[in-house]
Amino acid sequence: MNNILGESKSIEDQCLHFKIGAIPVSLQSELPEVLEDFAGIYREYRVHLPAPQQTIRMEVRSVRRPLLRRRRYRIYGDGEEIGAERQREEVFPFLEFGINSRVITTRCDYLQIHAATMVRCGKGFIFAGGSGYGKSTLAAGLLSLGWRYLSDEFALIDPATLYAHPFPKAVCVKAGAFDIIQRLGLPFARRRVYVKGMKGRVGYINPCDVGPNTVAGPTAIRFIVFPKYTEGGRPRLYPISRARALIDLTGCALNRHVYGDRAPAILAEVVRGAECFRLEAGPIDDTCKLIESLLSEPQEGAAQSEPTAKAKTCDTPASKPQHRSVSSSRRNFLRRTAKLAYVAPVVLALKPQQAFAAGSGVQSCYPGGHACPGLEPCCGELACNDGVCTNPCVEAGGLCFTDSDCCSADCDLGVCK
Amino acid sequence: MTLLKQQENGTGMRALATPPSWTDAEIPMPLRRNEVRDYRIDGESVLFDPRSHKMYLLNQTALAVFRCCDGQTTMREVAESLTKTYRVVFETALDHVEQLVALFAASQLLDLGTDS
Repeated sequence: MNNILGESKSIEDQCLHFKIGAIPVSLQSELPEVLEDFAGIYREYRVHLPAPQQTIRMEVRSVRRPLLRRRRYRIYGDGEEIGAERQREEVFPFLEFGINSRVITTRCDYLQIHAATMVRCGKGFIFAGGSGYGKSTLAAGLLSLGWRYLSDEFALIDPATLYAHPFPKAVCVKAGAFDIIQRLGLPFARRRVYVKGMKGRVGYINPCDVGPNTVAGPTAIRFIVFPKYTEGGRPRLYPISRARALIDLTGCALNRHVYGDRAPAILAEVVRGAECFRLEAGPIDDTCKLIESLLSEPQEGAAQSEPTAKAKTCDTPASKPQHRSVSSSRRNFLRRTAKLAYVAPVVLALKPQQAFAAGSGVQSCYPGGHACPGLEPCCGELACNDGVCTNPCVEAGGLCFTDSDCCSADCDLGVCK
Repeated sequence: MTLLKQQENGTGMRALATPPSWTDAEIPMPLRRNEVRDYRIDGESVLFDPRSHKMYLLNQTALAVFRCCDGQTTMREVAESLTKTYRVVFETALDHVEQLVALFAASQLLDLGTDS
């Protein structure tokens, strides 16, 4: 009897092989529809023979218990049980999850960032953050605008080249974004909706269904964006310092424990080659346009608050203003010959959070002097006053750094008058 | 030094509530811990402590002071060098240096010889 894939082996005997980007995956399943869905979604990556090494071997086994009304399934990755027993409609999402978890465990040849990775005009964009930060919806929105795709869940960074490598798994979209996906005209893979435990209903978008040549090859990272979705908010982009981005990006590194102190060293090189932003994501159309506008803006220190730019075409490379005014030359001369303005020392202590843990993500706070849009807190005792993180003023007799620390605006030898 | 002694006694950053003493400026800066990594980017610096896995974002001034934690340079010398580079009076600079040293010590970025 032929099986669902028109081949003569029984399902139990059948093992399908894939090479998804750089990751070889083999799959056996006692649930035929999972094989069918996986083979359908990843048809572009099917291979006939397993890779000689580093193959992630996934298996779905049926759990036979006479008292259970509905049959349950267990998922195994490289022989290890992954998670609890699942119902039929939960198997595919948790199989995907299982593959991701095996990649984190086994593929230490890449520094893995919890991020969606997209490419436009040959420039790699990392959208880094934990679950629920809107990475997948953003990736879907950018796909609909013709951006090329590297990954939804991981940025796989080669420590030698610092290039992001493709891991073109299907984009997993939660039920809350289904209407957005429909409005964008993106097709759900297999026209199916699954259930992913507590996250509820999910659907998948296969980038290969969106258009030809959608998946990009290894790409240099030129933009690092930390998105966060705000319902009903207007999209905004804030430039952040590369040093700050390094800390946040390290917090999103899923296998940084493997790399130890090499992880921040590698990521320091990545951020040095990129412009870094924090994004308050709003309506998907405006948000995507705002991100596209980065390609047409002078990048250094660019602050963009309005989604005004038109869709970017790669034929018109971004140009930076070349002229230097006389006054700026004079300013530079003065900088060389005069003392620098003193800025009180700031030390911001941060512990990178494990981005893959449930409910966590990029944990951050704004340091003194930074704009505080209200989404994230100012650090420590700083308060958001008129949109800027500032110290609450110190009463007379209290300790101060500068005059502005004191309510009296008079800081004398470290004590407010 | 007052701040560091209080630090070692486990009072943490509450030591900063005491206005710094000006008499300890001749004390050498403590030595920074060797294994703390320092990534300098655009004038800021990120310190990574592989022991605690904590990271610290230092602005230019804080970095200048951290780099002087060599066990030899005195606080007075560090403060004086700040006054030569920046428009800041000596007393303010020394105040900041002392507070930063206390902060670095509380963050265990310095080798205070207390580790076994």
